[in-house]
Amino acid sequence: MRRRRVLPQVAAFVLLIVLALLLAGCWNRRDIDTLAIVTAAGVDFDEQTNEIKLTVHALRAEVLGETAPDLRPYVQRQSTGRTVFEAVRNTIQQSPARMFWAHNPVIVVGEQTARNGLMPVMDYFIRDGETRLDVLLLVARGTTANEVLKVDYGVERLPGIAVVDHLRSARQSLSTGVFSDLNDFLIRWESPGIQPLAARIERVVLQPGDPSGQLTHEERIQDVYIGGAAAFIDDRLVGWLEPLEVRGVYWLRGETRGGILVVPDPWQADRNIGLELSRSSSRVEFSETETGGITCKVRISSTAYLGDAMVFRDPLSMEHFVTAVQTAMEAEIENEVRTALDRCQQELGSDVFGLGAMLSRKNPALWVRVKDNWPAVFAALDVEVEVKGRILRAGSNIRYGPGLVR
Amino acid sequence: MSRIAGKLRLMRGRRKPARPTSTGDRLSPKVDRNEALMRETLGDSFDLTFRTLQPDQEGRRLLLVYLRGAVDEKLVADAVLRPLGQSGFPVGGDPRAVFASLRDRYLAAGTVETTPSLQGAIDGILLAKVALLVDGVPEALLIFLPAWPTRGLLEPETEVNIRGSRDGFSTLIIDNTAVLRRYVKDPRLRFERREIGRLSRTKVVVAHIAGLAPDSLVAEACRRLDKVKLDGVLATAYIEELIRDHRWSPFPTTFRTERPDRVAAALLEGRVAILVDGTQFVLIVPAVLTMFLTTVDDWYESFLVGTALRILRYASFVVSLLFPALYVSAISFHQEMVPTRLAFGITQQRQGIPFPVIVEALLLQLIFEVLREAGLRLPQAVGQAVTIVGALIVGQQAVEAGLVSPVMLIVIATTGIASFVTPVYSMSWSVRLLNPLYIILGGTLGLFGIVSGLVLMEVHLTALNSFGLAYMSPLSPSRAEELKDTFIRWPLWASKRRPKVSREDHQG
Amino acid sequence: MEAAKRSVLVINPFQLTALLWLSRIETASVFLPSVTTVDYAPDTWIGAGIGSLLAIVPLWVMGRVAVASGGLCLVGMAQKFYGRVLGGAVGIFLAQFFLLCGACTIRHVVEVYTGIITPETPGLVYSAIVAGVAVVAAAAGATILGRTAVMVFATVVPLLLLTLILPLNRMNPGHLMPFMHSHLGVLAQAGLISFSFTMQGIVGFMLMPSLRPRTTKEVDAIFLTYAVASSIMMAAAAASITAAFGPLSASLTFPVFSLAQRIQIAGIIERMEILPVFLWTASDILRVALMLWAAAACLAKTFGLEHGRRLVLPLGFVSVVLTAFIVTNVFEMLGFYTWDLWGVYGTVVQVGTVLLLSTGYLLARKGSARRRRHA
Repeated sequence: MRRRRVLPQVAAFVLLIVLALLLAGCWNRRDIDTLAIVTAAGVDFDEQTNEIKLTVHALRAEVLGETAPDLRPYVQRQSTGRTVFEAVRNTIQQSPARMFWAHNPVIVVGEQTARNGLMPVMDYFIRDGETRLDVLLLVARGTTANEVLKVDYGVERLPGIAVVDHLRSARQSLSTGVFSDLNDFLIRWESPGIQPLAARIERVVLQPGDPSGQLTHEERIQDVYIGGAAAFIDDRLVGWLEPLEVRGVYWLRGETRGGILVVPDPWQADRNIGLELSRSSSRVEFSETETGGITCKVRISSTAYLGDAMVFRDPLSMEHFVTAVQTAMEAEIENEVRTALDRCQQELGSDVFGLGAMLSRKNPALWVRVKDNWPAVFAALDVEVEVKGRILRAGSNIRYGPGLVR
Repeated sequence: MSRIAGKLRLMRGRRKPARPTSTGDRLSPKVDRNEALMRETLGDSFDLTFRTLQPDQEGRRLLLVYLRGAVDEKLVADAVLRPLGQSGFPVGGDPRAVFASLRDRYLAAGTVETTPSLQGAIDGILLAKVALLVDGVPEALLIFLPAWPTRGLLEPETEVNIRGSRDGFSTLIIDNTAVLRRYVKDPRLRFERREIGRLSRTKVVVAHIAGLAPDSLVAEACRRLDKVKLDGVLATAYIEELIRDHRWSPFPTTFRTERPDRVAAALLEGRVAILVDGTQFVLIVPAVLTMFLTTVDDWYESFLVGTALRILRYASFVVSLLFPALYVSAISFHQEMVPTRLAFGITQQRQGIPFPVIVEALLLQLIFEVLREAGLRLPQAVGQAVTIVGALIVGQQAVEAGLVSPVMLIVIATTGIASFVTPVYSMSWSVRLLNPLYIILGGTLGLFGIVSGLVLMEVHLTALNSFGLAYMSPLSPSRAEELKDTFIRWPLWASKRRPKVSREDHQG
Repeated sequence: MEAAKRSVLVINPFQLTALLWLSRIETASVFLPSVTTVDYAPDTWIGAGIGSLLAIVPLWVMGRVAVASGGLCLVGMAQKFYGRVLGGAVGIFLAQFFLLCGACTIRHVVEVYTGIITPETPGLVYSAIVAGVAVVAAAAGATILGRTAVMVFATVVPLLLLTLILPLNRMNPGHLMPFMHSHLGVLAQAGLISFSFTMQGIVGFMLMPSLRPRTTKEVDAIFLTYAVASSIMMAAAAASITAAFGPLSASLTFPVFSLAQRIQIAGIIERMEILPVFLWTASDILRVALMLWAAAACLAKTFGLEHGRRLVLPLGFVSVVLTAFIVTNVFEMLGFYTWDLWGVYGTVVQVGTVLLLSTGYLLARKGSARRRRHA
């Protein structure tokens, strides 16, 4: 019987344990309770002092379970530095706990900083191993990140998490928010033919005339507005998109999720119909004109449910009514897309739709010819929009009732 | 010189009582002398019984020597005394003729042997035989009439099952071989006899089905048994430790069981079983890792249930080995692995705990083991209460005192409960030995340490052999035929070939 | 049983295939140079796949030659065809080649861990432990290596599949368009890199003497399976990365890690980047073990030792030392894996070995045929 020696393996295992024990004070071991988990971050570049201002919400774990309203489960810290990395390190001066970035869900950037170029301030978050690329990016309109992060959220006690949930709802239920993380931003930034888009956050001050900050907790609740988008060219902020314009972008890309579309009642001048949107899809085709220009034809198809007719209809006229509403719906969608297109083509000059990228996939030869000049070509692009709407359900409970209107 | 030697001899002679002369080891024709010799060799023991019979007037005596308690005295009366009292018993004549007729006709017992030596007679007496000496014949008749005390076929306590038979082995080897005969009524079932242990002279039987078990395996088992040199074999474990492969390995390479149905199944697979007198535990060789993770219940329920049980058991095995280590490494090194809300919760729970996670884990694991062992050693009525109460109260109070965090308690408790699922005690000990080592690795080197330890353990496991069979078969070297009964319990109606230990498995 | 006392360590074809494929996993899961060291193109996955497939040809040729010369290892064949001295030189060269491959792999592990997971731990800890476990595995012999490979393989491959499939909801197939429109140069570069990685399967020929059964059919099957599997794996990895990251993929240092970071399903299955970490470590340890074993076997055959097991430990030490010195940082490492450095060097060495030995075999056969004719 061949006797194989296993003593070397057992000895090696023991040696491994001994080695491990000797390294027991070792370098990277950090018990989780010694970490200050970052739950929100904000970056601003102060042009006067030429410094980066970093705002960080560090978790206060011992407060988490308690429900006293004035006790926040986080501590807001601010630090400065010439680079973002230095600012991050300088937070040590304020607290012994080490910042732990892997659970940070949100980074807010001030408007001015974004206008100057996002990449320099984002490089640390991209390069470092502890920060993740799936952190949501928001740009603060009209203010600095620091101000935005000072706001209190009532229901969800951690603002970072609250912002994420808020943005997710805006994207899923309204299709007016941009739920894109740093990774998406980078992909858009690196890809030719598409420009980055980030979420917009702004601070709505309920009582503008209260500089002393004596507002009560209730008065401070819910004065942040998340919706709309920030449009970039490369990494510089160039302008803002309103919520419905953002939805126009999604219409064109076929990426709407949910939402409410309000169309004027076709049979009654002063009433409106509320339609609940389901998913949409779109097809974009490019063709060349005789003069060497490019035209683009967008076919959007969308499904909606009749949510709110504001008046009862009788069943006999339902079919015609629905057809009429469909037409109105198509018009409204086209309107939204047009508004978005006008905004981006004329005012911003930024191809957030990704038409260039689509062209590069559909018609690579053509793209090669125009890609160096794409911003100009995009601005002059003639886009034809064709919408096909379909109303699937007209409610479930009542089809008709008292107060019929003929 | 010879005078000094002579003086020494005299001195020696004076220290000991006069030794009755005997021609070496042979029995004397005189019964009295034999009795004296036996009394001297065996001492004046409480249970040593001498019974002299004189069935005839000529003074020819018969001597019965036996150990009371080891010998069934009722059978002595039936098998020996009654025939002696019958008419027709030749009382006169040649003593040799009397001896021969006793041996061949008159004794109503099954096993009768003769021996001319004193040592043989004494051995026989020690082995629960009655020695019958006839005056005038320098030979002894040995009649086997054992009545070793035994508790019978009790339900096996260490291997609980739901649907199998509740019979376990008994401590008498002859009962155990009988039980095995009942399961396998085939002439090819063989019991090889061995006697091991200088002082204990324990009967050891190597059971196998000739033709199914490879001859090389049987030969190797016998060879290893023959090399065992011990004073006493008190339990299977003594032999096990001396004949197993890889004595440095924390994993058991022989399978010990007290269930006859498991042994019978193993025999039918071509394995070899080693039975030891005096203990109800039977060794099965060769043993492979998957054997330690199966119970008989897998086969006694439908294959769906069996498969589910198996998967549960394998998962529990992995959990009981690695769960605390993974938790410790996640909390100490890979905090990004932990879901965000959970991370917040754990941070909150760990506020104020004085120990680092790794110490907390090792401490709780130690307490758990202490409680478990204490529960085992206490008498049954008290033991259960202590374990439950101890675990609950100690755990609760430790949390309240701020010594450990509730999450760690849950982790260790889950690990402990998962380790109870491992059905074989020796394997669960392997896990319990390795568990704290993995905790140390995870707490000092993170997941890297755990993975390195796992790879090293896998190298070790694949290097293990049990009597020539690779420990990790049928996983590796893989054998598709056998593999199907490893992860799922292959239904009997779909099995065409018998699972067996084949000669090929002993190489590659 | 007494006959088995001879130390013939046996590895069967399934185990050898598993071992070879396991040694290939790290290329598709640590750096993925066929994507990250070439210019970005949506079709690099096609180049990577085809390049790997092309390795079938030299591997098949080598397999035939190996079986025909009686199951010798590479050095054995070199010695048989070219004499002991030249064969010995080949042996020493191959030993250092395999040793360097092993040292590179250890360096990969060090870079991954010190780069993203535990930045403050010195790399020596990782290289020492990886080398230590690899030494134990290699010293246990070819049989154990094969068996452990099968076991690790069984756990690692499903994890790799999961890592490549789970981020499906975050992948954009549009990034893989336009289909077949990329510049052929980029595809050729990616293909060359993958080809020279897959050609590292010639290390399997060092295990040829231990292979049982050693028929032509089995050997063909081993290397065919290996090359196809390697090609599928590299193509799938490249395709997943490109789909998930688009033009960003060429800038990633650890692509599969970043891919695993993107996994997010229903808010429950997320933060799974530990999956590729486990993949790397386990498969890399075995790959280093294979390389150490092969280097030891080369040296043993060169110097006429019976088996190289004694040499594994000193070679382990040497590899740890080498690991510290081969490259300065991860960028140099990636810079080495470009098509014009690794692609060319690896191809020349590996295909060169095949050509050398096949020519030797043909010459020897012609020579013996001539001798037979004259006899």
